[in-house]
Amino acid sequence: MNRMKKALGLALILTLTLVLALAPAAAQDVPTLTVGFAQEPDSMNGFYTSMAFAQWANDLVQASLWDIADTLESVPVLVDEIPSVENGGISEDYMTYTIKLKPGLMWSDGTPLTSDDLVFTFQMVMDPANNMLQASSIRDALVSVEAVDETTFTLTFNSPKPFPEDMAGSPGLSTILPAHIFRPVYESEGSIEFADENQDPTVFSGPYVLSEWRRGESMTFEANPNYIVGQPQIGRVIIRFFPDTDTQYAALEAGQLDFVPNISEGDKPRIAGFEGVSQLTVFGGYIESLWLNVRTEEAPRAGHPALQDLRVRQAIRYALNRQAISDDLLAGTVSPTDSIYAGSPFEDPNLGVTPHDAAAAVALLDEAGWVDSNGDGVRDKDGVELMLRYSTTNAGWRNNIQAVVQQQLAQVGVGTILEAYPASEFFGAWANNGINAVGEYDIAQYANNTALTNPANVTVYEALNCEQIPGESNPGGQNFTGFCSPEMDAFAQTTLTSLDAAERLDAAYGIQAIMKEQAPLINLFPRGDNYAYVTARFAETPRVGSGVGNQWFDILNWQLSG
Amino acid sequence: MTQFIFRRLLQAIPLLFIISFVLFAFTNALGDPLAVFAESRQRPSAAEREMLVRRLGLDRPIFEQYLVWLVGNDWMLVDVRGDGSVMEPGTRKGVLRGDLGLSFVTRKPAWTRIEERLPMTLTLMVPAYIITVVLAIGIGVYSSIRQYSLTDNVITGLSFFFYSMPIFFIALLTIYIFGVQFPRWNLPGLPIGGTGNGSFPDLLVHMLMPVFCLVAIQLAGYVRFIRSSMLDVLNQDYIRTAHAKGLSENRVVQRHAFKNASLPLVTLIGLDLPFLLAGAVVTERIFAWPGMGRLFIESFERADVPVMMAILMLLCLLVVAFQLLTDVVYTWFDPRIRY
Repeated sequence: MNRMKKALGLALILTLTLVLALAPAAAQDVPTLTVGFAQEPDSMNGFYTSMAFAQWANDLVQASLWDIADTLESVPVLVDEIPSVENGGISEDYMTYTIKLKPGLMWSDGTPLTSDDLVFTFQMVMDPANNMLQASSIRDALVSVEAVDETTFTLTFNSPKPFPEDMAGSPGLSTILPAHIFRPVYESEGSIEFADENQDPTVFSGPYVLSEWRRGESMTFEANPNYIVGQPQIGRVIIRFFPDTDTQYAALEAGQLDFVPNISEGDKPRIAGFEGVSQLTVFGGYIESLWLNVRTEEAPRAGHPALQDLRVRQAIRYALNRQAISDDLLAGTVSPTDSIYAGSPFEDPNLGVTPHDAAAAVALLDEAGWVDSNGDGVRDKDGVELMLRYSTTNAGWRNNIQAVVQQQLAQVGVGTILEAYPASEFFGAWANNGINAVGEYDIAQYANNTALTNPANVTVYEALNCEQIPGESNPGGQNFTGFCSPEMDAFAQTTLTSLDAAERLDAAYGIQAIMKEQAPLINLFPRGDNYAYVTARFAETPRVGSGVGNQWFDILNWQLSG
Repeated sequence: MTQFIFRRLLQAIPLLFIISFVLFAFTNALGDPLAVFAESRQRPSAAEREMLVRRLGLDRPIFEQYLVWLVGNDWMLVDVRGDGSVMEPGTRKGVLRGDLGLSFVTRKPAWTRIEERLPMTLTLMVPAYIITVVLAIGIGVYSSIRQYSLTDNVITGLSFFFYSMPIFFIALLTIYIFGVQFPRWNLPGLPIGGTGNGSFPDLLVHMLMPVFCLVAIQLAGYVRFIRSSMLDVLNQDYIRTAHAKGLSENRVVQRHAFKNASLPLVTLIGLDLPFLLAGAVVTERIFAWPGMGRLFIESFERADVPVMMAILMLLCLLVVAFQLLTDVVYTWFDPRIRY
């Protein structure tokens, strides 16, 4: 009997505990936005991370001098006016910027945010002892930084810099360091690389402060009362980490998350089926592409000899039905493009898109001498089969595209061997025998950067540059395709250095024409930055910044309903 | 006994050295820690990547990297900035002096990352394991003394049903039913992912689904093991003698059968216990549980060698320690065993 009573008592306690726990949580004292991240930030100092999620978390708490809006226009944040030649903020020779902060700016702890903080930040960027991963373009260009008064400072460069957004403001300099926190660390240790503030920040310049970081679990942000630019209407933002996208989407579907960034193109059709969930897409700055290995050096591996022939490369593009890939796998949410500037203001509107034309592909392959002489269904020439190694990362949506591309190429007699690798192996360096770096592929699928707010396109001036072809003498080279066009390199240089906007645009158009003609890579589709949100939680559709800049650029105006 | 323990500990030392080198070579071959920059918007230049590689010592031969991991680099000059401009003695002390290295990802000590995750792994794994073992003993013993009864057959069938289910499937199914569908049926839905708001009741609620999945998957194996072990013992002559002496069924089962059937169970538990600290890779990932299993996978994806090595070596040490402990516990269960 006693045993029975004990069991009953235990059951009662357990039930009560559960009921208490399951009872609806007390109403939130402040409007709270719950966001799902697929990865946990690795640093809260923007100079020490290349992770998009870390940058997004940082952007909540660190204000930039100015942001890039969803329309790709610059929006002042900590400055009243973005420097330009017209307003005198940029010298006629584009070598000196004078930037004036808004008066009365404060850090979250009440300390004034002044030009001293900006000068200190640029000094930290310039000092190699700090080993910063980011801001290399600033480091390479900056000669000096000086405070003029409490709110004004000047930057002097070693050459003309026609794009202020590359040097200051988001995305060039999206982190401003609190000098009163970092300077003592720098003075005592000679570097801020291992400062506690990088991992556990305490002082902030942006609309929120990080109030709690439960490692592996969540980050909680509260409105920053000392942010004089404005007060967000959403008082609290909680970012929860979901390493498994299925779980993350289940939480979104169940209404336990309000907002989820970084939805892959492959997942958009699935989320479209969630009741009460909307999606939005902004300019992402990436183009998913098939990179063709045209390297000729046998060591460590040359690309397939067929890819040396321009007609074969063009035939592959004709053979691809990119619209079908979009329709069948991505719910028609993306459109094919041949422009390496797709979606940016520098896209050549007259470039056109290569249509799917299997007959043209067949004709080009025949003309190039690749025919199926042994009747095995795969073309060959001089005893070499046209069988291409087609590699990508092990992301599921990419592997689905691989399977469809394989079928499409098979229809014109081009065989493929599909390979998928972990990203750390696929993108590994030469020394690590990275698949891309050592050319262990014929077709590699991954995203290239398109142009951002200016026509200088890193894919062109680095990943397709003649001098960047990797080899024993240049193991750090970044041109993994091996494509070389001195004419395109000259255009790329013009986009980087010309002070004439029209000349830069012409150069961008020239690059697009060469890329389309030579086809060292085949663009599949521009990848947007995709977001999903619970429709009923928002008073109106939130404006989200493009991936180029700050996705929260408009968060002061976001409003939750109810 | 002391001699035995001492001898076993001595034997473990070369073993751990060999294992550590093999693991170090494997983890270093997993990929490039800098590959994460490949598709980032503001990637460092090629020259900066090279500097970073040199600074981290990743350009050195694997034996030299292992030596630095083992004994540190404060006795040698290292390329502090990666460009050859500053050569200074290193700051690492090496694993033998308690320095597990800095995480490539967070630039914090690898041990700090483990410390952050270990408590939550134990919070999930220990209750799940205790529930599993307790239920398995009850069900396994009952199943053995009612062999081939309807209950035994049902339990056996259910055991195999859950045993044959992949953990990711049962986990996602649980989330879908209790997290997504329950609210639609106007039932209280369970929270999806994480450990809650920090309160104990909320933690318990967040534990329900992952613990259920872990128990469901592990239970079958243990039940079958205990049942089989009990059946072996129940057929022994001394059990028949105990019955003949007129002892009650309970007393025979508890005092004579179960204690003797426990010896193989102790071995099994001894083998399993270290892995409680390793966490459950799939369960933690799916339920967004901030534990060691997830940390290992995250480190694997970023080729964060110091953290991976710290976790693996911790496991190796625990396996050795628990095996030793198991041998010691044997003497309590079976007084005939002497070392």
